[in-house]
Formats: sequence, structure tokens, C-alpha cells
Amino acid sequence: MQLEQEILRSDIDRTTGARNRLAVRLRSLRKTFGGQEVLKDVNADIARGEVVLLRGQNGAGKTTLLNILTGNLAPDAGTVEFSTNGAALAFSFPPPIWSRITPWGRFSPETLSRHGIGRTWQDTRLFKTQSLSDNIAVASPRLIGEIPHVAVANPLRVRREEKQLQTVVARVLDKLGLGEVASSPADSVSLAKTKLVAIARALQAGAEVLCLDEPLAGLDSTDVGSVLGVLRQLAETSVFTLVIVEHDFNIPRILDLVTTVWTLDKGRLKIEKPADIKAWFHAPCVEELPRWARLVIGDVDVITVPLGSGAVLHRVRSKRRANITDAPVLEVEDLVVHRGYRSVACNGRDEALRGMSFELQRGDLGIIEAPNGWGKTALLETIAGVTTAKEGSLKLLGLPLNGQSPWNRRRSGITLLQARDSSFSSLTVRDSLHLAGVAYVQDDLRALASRSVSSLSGGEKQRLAFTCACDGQSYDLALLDEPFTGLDDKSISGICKRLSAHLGNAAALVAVPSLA
Amino acid sequence: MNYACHLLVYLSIYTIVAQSLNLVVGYCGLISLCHAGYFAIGSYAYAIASKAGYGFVTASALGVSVGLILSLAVSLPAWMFKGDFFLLISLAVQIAIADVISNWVYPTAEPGTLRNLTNGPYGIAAIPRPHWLGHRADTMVSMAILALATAGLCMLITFLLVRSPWGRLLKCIRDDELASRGLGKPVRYTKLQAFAVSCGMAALAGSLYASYVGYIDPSSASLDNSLLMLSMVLVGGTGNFQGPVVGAATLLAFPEILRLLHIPAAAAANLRLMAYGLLLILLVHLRPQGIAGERQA
Ligand SMILES: Nc1ncnc2c1ncn2[C@@H]1O[C@H](COP(=O)(O)OP(=O)(O)O)[C@@H](O)[C@H]1O
Ligand SMILES: [Mg+2]
Repeated sequence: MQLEQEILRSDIDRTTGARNRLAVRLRSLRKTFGGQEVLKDVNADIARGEVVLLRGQNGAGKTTLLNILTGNLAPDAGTVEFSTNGAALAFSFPPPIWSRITPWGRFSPETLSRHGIGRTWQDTRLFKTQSLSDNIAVASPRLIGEIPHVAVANPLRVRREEKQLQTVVARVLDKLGLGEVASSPADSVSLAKTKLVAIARALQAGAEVLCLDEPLAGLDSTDVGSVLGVLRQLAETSVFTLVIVEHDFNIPRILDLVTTVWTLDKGRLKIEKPADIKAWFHAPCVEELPRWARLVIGDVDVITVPLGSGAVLHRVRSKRRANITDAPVLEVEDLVVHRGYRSVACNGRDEALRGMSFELQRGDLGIIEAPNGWGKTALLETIAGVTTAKEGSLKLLGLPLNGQSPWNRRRSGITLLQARDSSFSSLTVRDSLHLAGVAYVQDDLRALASRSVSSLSGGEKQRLAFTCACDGQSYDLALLDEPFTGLDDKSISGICKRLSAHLGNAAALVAVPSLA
Repeated sequence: MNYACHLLVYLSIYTIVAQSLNLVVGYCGLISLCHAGYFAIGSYAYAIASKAGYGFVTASALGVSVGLILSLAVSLPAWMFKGDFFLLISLAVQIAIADVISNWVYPTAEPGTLRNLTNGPYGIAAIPRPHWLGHRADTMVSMAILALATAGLCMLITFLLVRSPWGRLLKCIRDDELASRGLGKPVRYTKLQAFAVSCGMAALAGSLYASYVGYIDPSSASLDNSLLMLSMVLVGGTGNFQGPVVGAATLLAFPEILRLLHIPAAAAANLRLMAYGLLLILLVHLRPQGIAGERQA
């Protein structure tokens, strides 16, 4: 009730006063990729201070539209107009000849960024060798230190400027709760932190309209909270205009911030108020886990074992198999997992209890639910042999695995689906499937066969990765690292169905971020 | 004493070379094979100007300007090409420069004239020792001082550059060009600047070389030389300030050590190449980030 009132109030706020000036206007946008019409006729307006939620199935063209909004991709036809930074900027497509040959005012990310349009990426794209504070500092516009002759001729002035900048950046990082990791390089901090920095970076560059591509994807519940907090602050100032791409799964979490909902379906944009789609999302989907489990196995018994440091292992077994005791497929005993020189995924600080032990039978679905940074990936990679275990023992079907190479483990029946993009981006889909030894290809992927993997949308890549991992050679144990990240409901249930077909004579261990 | 001065001059020259190449290799993330070309452009420009009577400062400034302008030959392609493709383009530029230098010759014309600019394979001899403000660097000591001072100046400039926001911007562009563009950064223009600085400094090192040795021929523009320069950067470690200095010193020390071991000259040349190869292989295995490199790429 209170929520609805708030939405109403913010609606009123935004329809009155001078704030409600148009920031972006899109008219008759069209975009085709090799015959596939991704955007057909997209028309939309965004007023200043609005918070737009852009939703749609996997591959509906959300990222494509965001790319157009930020100058990263030129549409085939239509017009894009911005009135931000106190000036107007308009582009029509196909571009007139004169604008094609002059270097000024091109439709490019640089031009739009200087005009106050910023973005974050689905895969954050921080500058990975730079510290977090430098990642933000470098975004500042018009630094005199970036002019080489000033840097040489007037180092003191540059130093002063840099000092001031660093204090500003330090304040920003403190506000985000990242003060302690300010100087660690961007590729060594957790996903949530990089997402926060990516937002701060775009703001530092002077973004007024901020486009966020799946800011919550792949985060666990505490991390979602911190990113959400920042989004909420941005929305409340109503200085910023936000366009947020999110999946249905995360939508309930942000729906109360949103003022407009755009739904992309078959190339067209449907514009609604949040109240219209609210009925769709009554309950937040924190009960995702049992739902997956039921999708995979049907009627289930769940045994939950704590693994320490906030992680749990749910062992899900079909009721029909409840009384069968089989030889275990996977036995893990006193395993200590290392990432670099640090041991992770351990049973708390107690030395005696450090190793973890569990086993899985045929038909079992093990679900490791752990906060990000706990070491889920490290654990799965240790079982698959990509990283070596220093302590503890691992057995597959009674045979010890320790010391075996990853390819031998694959031959003896362990398959691993790695988290996030681990596909071969220069191959075509067909070659990737060949390489994985997939004989039968489902229709949805067959249509993509001749495309290169790098051109697939996030969800399509994930489906391909799953098929390569699980529909190739037969296996006894499937290790799936966040297989559902970035997928819509339809794809999730499709994957679950296929997984359940395999579970007849295999076990699966799935790692997911903890959501409760 | 003379020997020490000789070593110092060479060390200075190659420190400038490695330091400037590191701007491209380490900070732009582009492997370039045409650095010797710009080195030679600098030496030829210097040779011609100094034989026409200009002093060290003017002649080397001419060399630097020519190198700076011609850097467009590699920096414009760098707008679009990366990795292997850029490597091929830099190789093409290298070959083009070497070809022009060894073919701009006309039998009856004086070297340095428009018809016979480089005197082709015969090279330009009797390049006067550097002189400035009525002072001549006749002795080895004064030559070494000049070389050290020039190297010091170049080191200071690169130091200021790579530690400045400009250097940070270069590294960010190397890490993720699209993300940098998304922040409104003039990516192409910045690359242009980096190449200009890099090629200009290579040309300055070339000027110094020509003034010291007194004779240059097209072999200074050879691919071998480019590869040696590249090895210096890779051996020392890319993307930081001290790496190239260490690399230049290591690769220059090698032949000297062989000489101290009294190995006959004919065998030493081959041994040197073998030793370089061995060094590179060992390095790739033991320290892929270079001797003085900081972090694994
Ligand atoms: N560069 C490209 N070349 C060909 N097809 C592409 C390219 N980029 C995206 N597509 C296709 O366009 C559709 C929309 O992609 P995208 O916008 O990434 O979807 P999503 O809504 O999941 O973000 C997908 O079917 C994808 O395969
Ligand atoms: Mg997407």
C-alpha cells in the first residue's frame, strides 16, 4: 500500500514542474542483424528524472536498444534525439552524407558521453589493470593532465589537479563503502564492487542519462542490496534519468523505483506504468531454489547441510529414489579449496573443521548456495581438476580423482559448465557444438548455427554453453556454475527439463549465489 | 675510460629507444616492429642537417620533427587495427622505410640533395661530431655527457608522461577501448599523441647515434634492429618505467660479456644470436612479465 502511494507520489513529482522536460526521444528505430529484425519500430520518450525499466526475453534486443541509446550501435533507420547537458543533439538514420565525412558530431559513444549519456555494461568492463580509484578518476572530463605537453611542462599543476581529483574519488568510494579496496586493481575485487564502481565511473564522466545493463545479474542477496541502494539514491535525486535493463527474476526488487516500464517483444516496444505489470510479480522470487529443484526432479526430498561462512549445500533427491542407496557418484572428503594462495570455501575459521565433506548419488541434484566470493567457482573447478586440491580426497564412482588431469576427469565422466562467458568467441555456434561433440541440436540453437559466438546475446551464449557442457559426451557428474545467470524463465525451464532427463543416471552439482 | 664512455653512450641511446618503444608496446598494448625505421629516420635527418652546417640542437630537432610527422604512418592504422593486424602493418611500415632509405640514391648527385637524399646503400659518412653554442663534443667524455643528458631528458619526459593522467588514460585505452570511448575519451587522438612521442624519441636516439658513430647506412633501419629494440622492452618488462632501462642494459651487456670471454669475433656474432634466443625462451618460461615487470598480463 505504502509502496503504491510512493509510486503515485513520484509520478506526480515527475509530471509537474520544470523537471519534466524531455531528455531522450526515439522515433521509428529499426535495426536488423543479417535478416533478423531485432527492432522493428521503436518509439519512446524519456523525461528527465524518469526511471525506465527495460525488460524482455533473452535476445529480445534489450542490449541492442541500449547500445543505440549510448551511441555504440547505429540503427538502420529512425531518429534519436537528446536534450541533455543543456543542449540538444539529434541524429537521423541513415545519416546524411555530410555527417559521414566530417569527424565532428558523429553518432559515437564519445559524442554521446560528452553530451551526458553514460552506460554500464552487462560484463562491467572496468579497466582491469587499474585500481578502483583510478577507474573512477580517469572518467573525469577535461583533465588538463591528459594533455601531454601540459603534463610535461607543468607537472605541479597536474599534480595539484590530480590530488583534488583523488580526494573527490576517495569520498565517492567511501560513500559506496569501497574505501578499503580503493587501491586494489579492478580484476581482483568481487563482482558487486565492480558493478558499483562502473556506476560511479559513468557518473564521474558526467552522465545525466544513465543506461544500466543488468546491474543486478549474478549478485547474491547482500550484494543486490548494496547496488540497489545506490540505484535508489540516484532515482530519488531525480537529477538523473535511468534506463535499467533487468530480468524478470530481479524485477520485483527494483519495481518500486521505476516510473515507466518498457517491454520489448518481437521488435516492438510496449510502454506501461509499473502498476500495470505489478500483478505479474506478486511475490519476490526468493523461493527460486525449490522451484528449480522441482522443475528438475519433481517431487523432492531436500537435505540441507551447512558448509560454513554462510554457504549451504541442498541435496535434492526425488521422493521415488528416497529409499534407494546407491554407490555414490561423487565423494568429497576433507577437501580444502584454494584460490591462489588463499584457502576459500572452508568451514569457518576452525582449523580442525576446515575440510568439507559430502557425497552425491545418481539422481541427486546438489545445490550449493553461497554468497559471492565464498569460492563456489573454486570448489567446482577443484572437483573438475582445473585447479588442484592440496588437501582432502575426491572420488568419482569410487575411483580416486586426486592428481588426475582435467581432461582425464572429463573422460571419466565429469563435465563442467563454467560461470560467465567461457565460450570460444571466435568460433561459430556450429563449430562450438562440434567441438563439444554434441550430436543432436535443439531447434533454437540450430537456427543460430552459422553465427559467430561473439555475436550472440548473453542468454543465447549461456544456452550454448549449457548445451556444450551437458549434451556432448555422456557424463556421470555435471558441475554447473551459475547456469541460470542472465536467463529468462522460459530458458530456465528449458534447461531444467534437459537436466532432469540426464539425472536418471547421473548426478549434478549446481552453484548459485545465495538469494535468501 | 674510453671504453666506459662508449658503453655509456650506447646505453643512453638504447635506453631512449627502449623507453620510447615501451610507450607503444607497454602503454598502448600494440607490438610494433618499425621502431628501427624511425630511429633511422632520425639519424638520416640529423646527418643531412649537420652536414649542411647546423648544430646539434637544430639538427636533432629536425630529426625529431620528421619522426613525429611520419609517426602518422603507424598511428593512423592504429585507430583501427590491433594485435596481429597492427603487427603486420608496423612490419609493412618498417619495410617501406628501409626500402626508401636504401633506394633514394642517384649516382651523380651529392648525398643530401633531393635527388640523392640518403645516398642509398653507400650511406652517409663523415657526419660531424655534435656542436652547440660554439662548443664541440670532441672527446669521448663530452660525448658521453651529451648522451647521458639527452637520455636523462627523455627519461624525465617519459616519467612525467606515464605518471600523469595521460599515461593512465593510455593504459585504460589499452585495457578496454570501447569502455574508454563510452566515457567520452578521445581515444584516437590520444593514440596519435603516444605514437608521436614514441617515434619522436626514437628519432632523437637516432640523431644521437648518427652524431656519435659519424657514419650511417641502411642497416640501422633493418628489421633485425627493430627486433632487438622490441626484445629490450620485452626482456625488461612492459608497461612500467624501469623495465625498458633494465632490458636495454641486459641486451647491451650480452655482447660485451662475450667479448670479455675472448671468443673469436666470427663465432661471437652467432653465439650472440643464440644467446638472445636462449634468453628470450628462458624469460618466457620463468618471468613472462619481464625482468623488471610488475604484474602478469
Ligand atoms: N552483432 C550482432 N550480430 C548479429 N546478431 C546480433 C548481434 N548483436 C545482437 N544480435 C542478435 O540480436 C538479438 C538481440 O540481442 P540482444 O540485444 O543482445 O538481446 P538481449 O535482449 O538479451 O540483451 C539476438 O538474437 C542476438 O543474437
Ligand atoms: Mg543483454
